[in-house]
Amino acid sequence: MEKSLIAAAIFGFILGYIVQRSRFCMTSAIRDYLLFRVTTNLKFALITLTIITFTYTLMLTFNLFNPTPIPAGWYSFVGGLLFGIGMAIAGGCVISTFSRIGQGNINYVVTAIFMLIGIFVGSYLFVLIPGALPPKSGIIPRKVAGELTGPWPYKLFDIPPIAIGIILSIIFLALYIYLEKKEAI
Amino acid sequence: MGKLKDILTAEIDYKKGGIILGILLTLLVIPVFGYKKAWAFAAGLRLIDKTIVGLVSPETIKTVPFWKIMKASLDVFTMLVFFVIGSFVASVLSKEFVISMDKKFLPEAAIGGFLMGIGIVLITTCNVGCFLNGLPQLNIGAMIAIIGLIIGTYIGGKYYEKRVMSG
Repeated sequence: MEKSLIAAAIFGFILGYIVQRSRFCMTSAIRDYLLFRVTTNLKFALITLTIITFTYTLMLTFNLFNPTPIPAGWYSFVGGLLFGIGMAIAGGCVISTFSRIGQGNINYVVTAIFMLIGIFVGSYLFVLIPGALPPKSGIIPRKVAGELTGPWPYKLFDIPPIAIGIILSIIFLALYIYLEKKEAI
Repeated sequence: MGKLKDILTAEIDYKKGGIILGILLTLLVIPVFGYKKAWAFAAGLRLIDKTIVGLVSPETIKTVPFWKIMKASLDVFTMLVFFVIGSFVASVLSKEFVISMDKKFLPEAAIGGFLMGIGIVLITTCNVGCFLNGLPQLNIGAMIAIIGLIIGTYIGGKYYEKRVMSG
């Protein structure tokens, strides 16, 4: 068996375990803060973001892994908007949907099935993404994905990713400390 | 043995959870640990979809560009399956596993899932891919999607709040 599949299984299991025991959910992180000023999951996310923004940008600086290609444009906003409405009315994001399936919740099985239907229907909308289709018929998935990739700020300004990463990490940490202090008062 | 069970079934608070998740997601991308990708589930979902669509309508796979261009990954699918197993084991050990269904919220579960699916296609990743993958890599596409995600969550959350209130 391939090493990457074994690693995927081990990491997947541990992540599933941790998410279930910690009740981590990105929908809850945003929704609970915006609507009820409950910050538990938001603080959870901020701690994680502080760590991984530093480590990921450090690794990017030394070319230790390839950045994930995500295109940038109006469709990113529209996609985010639809996704956000969807996860809020379903009561859980992708993480908590699959975590709650593991806990035996049938509603989230329905959510996952309709997510797959949504991807199928959405596949016909994919052509709306500028640059999604290569100019000629020869399709090279990784290259196209690379060309689709939105610009990274550090590439625009030719500065090492870690320079922005440190600033962003400090912002996440400061937000976390702010929320902690505000609640302590 | 009892102590180990206590550790395994203990609730993890947000401070410990945030640190553990941060470390795990860092290990995930370090080449020596074998996975070499940041966390996201979209490519795993695409693999499920592509397999089903391929069985039902092979022509669709050949003719709709999405299926040729967007990556469907067995690694990510494997992680997704073991993520569910990990959650299942955790909930069984902590005696929280229960088959449950709230019929009143099934339409919301379906519509919400459908909208998330469309969103995954347009962003080309899921919310995990934006928040815990693209954002810490300073990706502008993820940042734009996050603005939409926050506004969308607010709108959807308002609906959810009203729905819960109305019973």
